[in-house]
Amino acid sequence: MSEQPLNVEVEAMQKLITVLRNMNESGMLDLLETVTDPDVYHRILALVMTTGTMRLVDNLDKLLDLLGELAYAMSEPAEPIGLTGLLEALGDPDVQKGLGRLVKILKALGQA
Amino acid sequence: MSTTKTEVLVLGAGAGGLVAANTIAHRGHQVTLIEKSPFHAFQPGNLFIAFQGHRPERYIRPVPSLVDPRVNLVQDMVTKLDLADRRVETKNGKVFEYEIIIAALGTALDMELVPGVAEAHEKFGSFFASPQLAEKLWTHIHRLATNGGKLLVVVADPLYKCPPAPHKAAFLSDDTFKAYGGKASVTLAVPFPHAYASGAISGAFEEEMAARGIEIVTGFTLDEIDVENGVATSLEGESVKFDVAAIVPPHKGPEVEVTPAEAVDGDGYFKVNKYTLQITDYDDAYAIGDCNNAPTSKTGVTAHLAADVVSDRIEGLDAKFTGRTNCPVLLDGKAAFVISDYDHPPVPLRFTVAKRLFEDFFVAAYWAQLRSPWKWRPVFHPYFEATQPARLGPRGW
Repeated sequence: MSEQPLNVEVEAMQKLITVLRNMNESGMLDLLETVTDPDVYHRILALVMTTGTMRLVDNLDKLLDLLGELAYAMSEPAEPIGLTGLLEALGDPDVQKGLGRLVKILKALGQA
Repeated sequence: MSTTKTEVLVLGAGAGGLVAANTIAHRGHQVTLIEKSPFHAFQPGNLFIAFQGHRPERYIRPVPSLVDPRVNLVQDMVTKLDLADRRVETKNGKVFEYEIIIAALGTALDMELVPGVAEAHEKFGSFFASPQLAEKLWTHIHRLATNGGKLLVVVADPLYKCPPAPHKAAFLSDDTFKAYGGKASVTLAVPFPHAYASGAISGAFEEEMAARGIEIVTGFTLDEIDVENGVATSLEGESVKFDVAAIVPPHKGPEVEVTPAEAVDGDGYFKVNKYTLQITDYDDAYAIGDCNNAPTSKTGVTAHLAADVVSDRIEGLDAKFTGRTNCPVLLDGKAAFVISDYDHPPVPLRFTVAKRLFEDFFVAAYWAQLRSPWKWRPVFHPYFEATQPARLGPRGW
């Protein structure tokens, strides 16, 4: 009898079974089972779904964009400056705008 | 006549009726559910069928597949409801006696009130009446998109299901027309002084419509549709021309003979206590969703939340309905939600990709939400808590 080549579904199922066996041995499946209990996922969601996180998720694209800009700024060489340098930098409209935003963030921190 | 006695009788297998029947049966009560249609349609799906050419099958499921096996499902049409005698009669001559009743009968469309509305539905189809008529409307939208012309989305009466539906219709058809090269245009005519019923958030709609070149006609109370000449006329004396008309027809209460007649208002909606949803003067009768006169929007979300409240009240809990709405408005891969309750007008809204994702997830899980509501309440509860209008405040969301 010649050996039949395994079809892709069988191969996928075999891999899945291995994953499940490992997860069962480590107890991870027991954890997952608990998470599917409505009382438990209610507690998890009540923890993470707050008015603040809803606003955060809503702005995720903007926030990621900002992080990308920050990472770029971090990769650029920057001269160490003192008070004079800071005063000079304050003449830049972008820095002025950034400072304005920083004050807004400080205000939000104070209100939190 | 055969008589069936049941503990809880639910009338109608729309979103509210299914959530109520399945939840209450899951809690161990004996439930009978009466539904006339063999199919349940996800009603917002009509917009995607009519304006973006989606297949109707995606938004339709057989009613039995959505009913918990512990519920006694009866496929029949309710004709009479006697609240004093606790008795319901059906078209096929069945009689049901109940201890508690939940009417979730939805609204009926009144095609006769405004001249020309019935003819327009006959000719162009509809995004309000049924998935089949929505499919018919798509053939006309597709023709307009290909050959050019003018679509008129017109709201006949201020009281209708899903307040942002006509606006969604305008946005979705505009998306389609632009994808086909922008040969066709959309005009939205509404009876309100602003683009949206609530002036508080009309600005957001007007801004997005202006950015897309969607024309808005406000203060337009539909008086007549002349299908032959393609003209809609308002009581205010204004005329708008069209090649295709997509009409939100006038609505009325369910077509059921209710005794006593005082239990329903002049338009046929059940008069309820807006917090307990009990039909006035009856502590064993509730009306949820579109068929009651609670001063909130007629939407699936409100029906679902009302079903939760009534299910809890039947258990003896002091649950109260807040009138909460969460109506999605969609455009170009973004969405916003019209969020309000009895104590707060809609909060300012922002169109974002994240909200569109929320809406996509909600639609995907719609059938499971109806079939196993007790699995979904732990998801919805924190969501509705976090997005309460009182918490979102003047900043909105």
